[in-house]
Amino acid sequence: MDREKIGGRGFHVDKAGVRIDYSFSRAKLARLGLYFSVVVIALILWRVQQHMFTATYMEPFKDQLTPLDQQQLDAFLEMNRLLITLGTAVLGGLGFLLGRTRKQSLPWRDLWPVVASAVCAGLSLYFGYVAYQCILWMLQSNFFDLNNPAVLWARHYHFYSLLVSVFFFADFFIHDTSQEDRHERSQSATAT
Amino acid sequence: MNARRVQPRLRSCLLWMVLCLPLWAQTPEKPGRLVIKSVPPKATIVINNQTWRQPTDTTVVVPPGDYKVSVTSDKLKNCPAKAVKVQPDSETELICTEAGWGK
Repeated sequence: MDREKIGGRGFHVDKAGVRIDYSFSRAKLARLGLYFSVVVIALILWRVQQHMFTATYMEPFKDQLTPLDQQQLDAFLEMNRLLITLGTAVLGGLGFLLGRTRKQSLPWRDLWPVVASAVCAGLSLYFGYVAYQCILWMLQSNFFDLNNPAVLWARHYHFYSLLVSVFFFADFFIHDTSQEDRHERSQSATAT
Repeated sequence: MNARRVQPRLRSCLLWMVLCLPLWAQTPEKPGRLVIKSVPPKATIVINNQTWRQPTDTTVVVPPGDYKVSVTSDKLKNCPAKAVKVQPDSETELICTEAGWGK
């Protein structure tokens, strides 16, 4: 097999003269990085869930919810919906900001807060769903305690991952707007 | 093997992995129930060395596993710690009488 180089890309040429591209372009590396991160996140999630769901508990059996339980459940579901809406809004905001700054491709040092924010928002949405599932599990198992370890951890992860996501979103937003200001100032300076 | 052929396979493997991993455990295992009764009622229940907040007769929802249950009161002295196995989504009944653990 011969080897030829065109620009930064390497090719292998087989006996039939067919060129096969084995080189890793930046896009391919980014895609592989994405796959690798997805595997890592899935494994971490699996481990975290195992930890959440193996905690021991003892709860009183309940045939029906008391009015106080019902109020707690309503408050929880309201907060769950609110956090899911906020998580979706963060993802939308990231998409908007990225779309605005997409004209010039961002270097990794500017892009990583976006990735971190998106991952945390995704985790927040996921844990919101898990918390909801845990509530259903609890009601089907005839007990009600929002401080049961499974529900409690899901609630905490739901909120705190959103908080971290908002932090990175704000970081990117401030960086993005300050860069835009700098760009505008330099443009007006060259115009004058 | 061509990299173009490997990538879709890798992608589908990852997709299945991502879908299956959380699906295995999105909720904890279905718990079991410990039904603890006594004659006379209103006796103190101790489960795994922890005093339960409600007196007999009561039902406690617990994760499946092995437990040690004892029941005591002024009149009930013969119900020391008894090992019981709780199965998922099933009821395990314990009755304490003055003579001891009964069925």
